[in-house]
Amino acid sequence: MSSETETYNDQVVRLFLLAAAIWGVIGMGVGVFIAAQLAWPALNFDTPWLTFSRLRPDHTFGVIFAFGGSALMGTCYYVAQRTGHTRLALPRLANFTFWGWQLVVILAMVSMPLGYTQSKEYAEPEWLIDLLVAAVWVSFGVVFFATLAKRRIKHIYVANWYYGAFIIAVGLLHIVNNIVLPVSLTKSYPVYSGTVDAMVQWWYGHNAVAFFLTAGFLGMMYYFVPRQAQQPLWSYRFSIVNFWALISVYMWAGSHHLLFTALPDWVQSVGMAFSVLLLMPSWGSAANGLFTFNGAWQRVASDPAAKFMVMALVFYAASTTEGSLMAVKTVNSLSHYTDWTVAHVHSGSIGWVAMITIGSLYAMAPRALGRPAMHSKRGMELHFWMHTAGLVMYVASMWTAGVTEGLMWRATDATGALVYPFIDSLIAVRPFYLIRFLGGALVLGGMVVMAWNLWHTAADARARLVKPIPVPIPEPEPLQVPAPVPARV
Amino acid sequence: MNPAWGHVAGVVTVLLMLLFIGIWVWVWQAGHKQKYDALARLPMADSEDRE
Repeated sequence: MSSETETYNDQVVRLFLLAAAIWGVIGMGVGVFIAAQLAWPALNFDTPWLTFSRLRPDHTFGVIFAFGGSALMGTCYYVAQRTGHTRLALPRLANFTFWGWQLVVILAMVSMPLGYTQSKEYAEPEWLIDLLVAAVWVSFGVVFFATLAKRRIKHIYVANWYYGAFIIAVGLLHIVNNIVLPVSLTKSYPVYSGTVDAMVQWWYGHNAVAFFLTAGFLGMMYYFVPRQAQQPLWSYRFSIVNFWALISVYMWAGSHHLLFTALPDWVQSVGMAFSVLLLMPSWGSAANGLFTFNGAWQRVASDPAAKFMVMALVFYAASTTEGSLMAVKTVNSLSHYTDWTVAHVHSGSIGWVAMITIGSLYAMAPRALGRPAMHSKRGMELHFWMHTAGLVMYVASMWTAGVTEGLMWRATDATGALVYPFIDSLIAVRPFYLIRFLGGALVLGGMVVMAWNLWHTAADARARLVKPIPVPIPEPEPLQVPAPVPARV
Repeated sequence: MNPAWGHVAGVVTVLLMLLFIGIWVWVWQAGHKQKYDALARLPMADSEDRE
């Protein structure tokens, strides 16, 4: 052990924090713009790269991988250090994961609107970018596992299990789904075809939800919820059971995206059955998080970060219940291809993913930026109410629109003919598209408030005044042979 | 398909069920309690010196 004190490496954590704040605003900004296009189609200005079809991948990539990815990598580095009482391993490689990931995001978000795409949902970027993603992702895994390897706390804390599963599974999914034959620098064809291609795509797509948007953010939840509640995790044992249940069940649920398609019926049924099973580990983790606040509810009333976390857990439970329901064939026959799917994915993403991220960032930022608290507590409070109001407007309007569409599309008269032409359903849902746009604008406004708040909280960090935090290392036990006789009591 | 696959599926189901129950039994062993209680408090340590 060297004579100088070992400190936590929060430099790379701060970079990811900054990136998450900026990408949050950009990703959701694009989302609000394309929501406006659906309400007012003239907003595509007859320009190819400004059309909904080209910009929608920028919204999903920007929010999931740029905002969510930066927040996940930053908190992962923070949590692995704090729960292992050790400094982050391989600092240069860690910096590479930051700059590499930002390059990936910029390349993807510029190339997709220009029309370079694999046309695979959530995996649109072409093969060269995919290779860079793989390189960054493997490096991320190396930094994380090397940090775990030099930990001083013997047991690996449960949050790290989730982060570890997230890293391994996302690497596997990304590589398998993107196996393609390149024909030029900007064009490739997948090696899979037909139904197999669809199944590989939705095995990837669903598990991107499972391991990126769930396991990763559960890692965040299992660390930052007990920390913010200042209460021990409600049941550590239960968290282990839920971990193994979630990991083993999620992988098999992807085929519920392909109900009533050319996929063999038994594969559809497998997906449906596993999706219903998923209720248990999902509720388990949500309950574990919520019960952790037992005895600390007064803290929730006064702490906006804790409010975000509680609301995130409620929406996690709600949207996983809804997801299991929608995977049942009879429900799916009404909901599929309608805006109900859009409502579901946004109650999961604005409700669960964004709120647990925002809560965790507010919890982590002061510590990482060397300040006792966030710059403005009223700003946090304002953000919470803007986000919650926007979320409710978004989800409620899209539920209504989705059920309206589902019912209109399946309505038949006595002769079996369709009652409504398609255009009627578009006209019927237009008011809801307007409400959705307003809800999205509120959520975006909240993200701007957070970026402003973080900017002011980071004043010391910008002036390079932040003192690194020492790693708590216990004094070495005296090695006396034979061992001293214990004192009489 | 060969009907023997039905038996394979049944046996695998039972094995996975036993594994699942085994995880419950394993984590609820009394010997783990002290360690798990300490771990459940680990995230609280980060801000102890601040408050």
